[in-house]
Amino acid sequence: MLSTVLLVDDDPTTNFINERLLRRLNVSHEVLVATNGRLGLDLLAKRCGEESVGCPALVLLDMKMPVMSGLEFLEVFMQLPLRQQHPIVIVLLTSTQLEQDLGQHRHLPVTDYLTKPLTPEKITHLLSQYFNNEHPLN
Amino acid sequence: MRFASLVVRPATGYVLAVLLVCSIGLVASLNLNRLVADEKMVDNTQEVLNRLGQSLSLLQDAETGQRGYLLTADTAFLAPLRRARRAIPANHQALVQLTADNAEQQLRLDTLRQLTARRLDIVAGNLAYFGRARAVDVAQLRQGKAAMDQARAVLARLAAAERHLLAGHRAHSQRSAQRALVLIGARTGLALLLSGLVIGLLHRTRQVRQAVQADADARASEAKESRARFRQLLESIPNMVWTAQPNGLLDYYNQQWYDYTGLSFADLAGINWQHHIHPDDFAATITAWQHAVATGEPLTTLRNRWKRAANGEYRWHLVRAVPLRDEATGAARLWVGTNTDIHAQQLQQQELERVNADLDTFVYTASHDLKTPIYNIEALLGALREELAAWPAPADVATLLALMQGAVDRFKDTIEQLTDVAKLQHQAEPPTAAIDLAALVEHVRQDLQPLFAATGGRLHLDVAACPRLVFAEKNLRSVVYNLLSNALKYRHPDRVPAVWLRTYPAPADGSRSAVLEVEDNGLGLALGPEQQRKLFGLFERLHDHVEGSGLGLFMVKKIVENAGGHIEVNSQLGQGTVFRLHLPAPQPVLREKA
Repeated sequence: MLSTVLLVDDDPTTNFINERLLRRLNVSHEVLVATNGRLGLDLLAKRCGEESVGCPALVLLDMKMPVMSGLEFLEVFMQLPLRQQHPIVIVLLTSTQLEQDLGQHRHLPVTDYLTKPLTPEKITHLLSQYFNNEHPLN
Repeated sequence: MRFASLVVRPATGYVLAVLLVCSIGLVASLNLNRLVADEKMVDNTQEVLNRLGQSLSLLQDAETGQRGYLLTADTAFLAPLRRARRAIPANHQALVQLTADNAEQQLRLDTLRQLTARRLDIVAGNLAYFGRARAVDVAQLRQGKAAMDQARAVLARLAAAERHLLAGHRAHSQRSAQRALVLIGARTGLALLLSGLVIGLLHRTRQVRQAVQADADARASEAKESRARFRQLLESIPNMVWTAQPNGLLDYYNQQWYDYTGLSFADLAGINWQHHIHPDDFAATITAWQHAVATGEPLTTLRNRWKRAANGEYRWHLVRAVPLRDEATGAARLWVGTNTDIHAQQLQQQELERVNADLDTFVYTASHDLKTPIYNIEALLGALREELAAWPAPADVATLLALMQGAVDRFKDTIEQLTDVAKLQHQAEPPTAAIDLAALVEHVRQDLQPLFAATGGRLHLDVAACPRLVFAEKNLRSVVYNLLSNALKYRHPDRVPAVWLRTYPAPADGSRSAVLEVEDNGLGLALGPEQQRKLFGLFERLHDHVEGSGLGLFMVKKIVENAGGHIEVNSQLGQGTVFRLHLPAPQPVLREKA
């Protein structure tokens, strides 16, 4: 089980559903929610800074958000020093093929792409693919 | 060429005439010389004959003197004898000289000289005897008479020979004169003929020159008149008209230009117009114009803005220009262009394009944004089902949940279709590969296998005439899928559905375009224009007895038209339907350039 997963999505219902799904699947001890990219970065800064308590191992990132979109989030994240210390897996959630193409055209620190909606199968696949059912460092 | 030969021929004539005149002179002088020579010979002979006569008369004088003295013994009769004795040698000497070229006459003259000498000796003897004896020696007289007769005969022979010569000379001289006459006459005639010819030729040349000049004059004045008429025509056209030289420099604007722009010819001439066109349209216009001038291809679609003097507003114009070509060489001689005010249409079109783009964006965004809530509803429905499963639920909860799920599914389908339409609008990449039709159709047939199995439908494939098509594969598959599934879905209840799929090259229009045809023996439709529009309309449906989204034919039409082709339909109610897709030829050259 992971320690922390961060959901970044502006839709509260989506967040509610995804959080419920993650809890029911026992993916992590903790699920954090940010409603736009800016808040997501704030959370990362807080959790993955000096103390590094509860730094997320997995970020599920939406593309279209007010204030700061998923792509803008990634551009800022790419420059962060904390990235060197914490191997954070970022999965971009897309609604269309076009969105996925948009992400892939740039060299962004994205581990994988998932088409919405999030389903138990997709999450299980993610875990086996990137976490090998091992417990992460934190 | 013709002109040159006319110039050369008189010159040749001149030379020939001059040569002929020279030859006439030569012949005349030769013949005159001969005539003079002949005349000299005749004179010579005449002189000889005279001298011969004199010789005879001298001998007779000597004879007469002797006879008088012998009869009268008067010495006065001896004077002619003495004169003859003195004159005879000189006369003889002259004869010898005159006939120096004639050996026979010389011989005769020698004989004559001896006979004359003998005769004179006999006379001298007779006289001496008479002086002594005062008598006449008759024998001597007889001898003297014989010598005299012999001399007379020789003289006659000499004269005959000379007369014969004279006749020869006369004949020769006459022949020479005749020949000269004939030669000179003939050559003079020839020279006259040539002169006539040369004069004729000169006349002819002058006529041709005059005709050519007159022709050129007429043409020049015609061209001037035609130019004037042309300008008049250009002035009478309500559009703004201009003309340009083959090198692209503008050399004329009609009055409409000056009225519209408020500028002068100097402001617009040559390349000066470039200062007055809308700055944003400058580059595109220059490029198009330079291309046209370089290739001779007409301008047909160029649009640019020009400032109207009346209100300072830049208005859109459609520029069209064609080169007037030289009939012989085909080279552009003059460009004629028109600027037509299309401001209203242009604004309308831009508005339409903007609205269309907005619509595309709207469809795309809507299909995207609607996804999240519907997925959420579906997920919440699932969560609700889980929660309710814990308790014994009222009987109709399951039905309600199932109905809700049904509604969610249809919603999702619609969004999927909308997404497909939106995707279609966003795809603009030209196809690159030639698709193997038989393989593609087989693929689709397998996708439609359940429908084929359920209806017993038969597919007849005839793509031999055009087995490969250059088209975006995904789109072509979508087209074939929609047409085949429609053919089976809207089958006639009384017969087993049969579908024919054919391809063939577009009928002899020279392009490499192709036709894809799908024919069925299904329900068919009575298609008026309104039904045709509906048939291909988005979310329009003409039947409700089978499931359908009203999207298939819209997509097919859209795909074909986006690719630059068009679709047509023929349908007979109760008989069947034929869809004919005209697919444009691929343009590999343009693609390589891009």
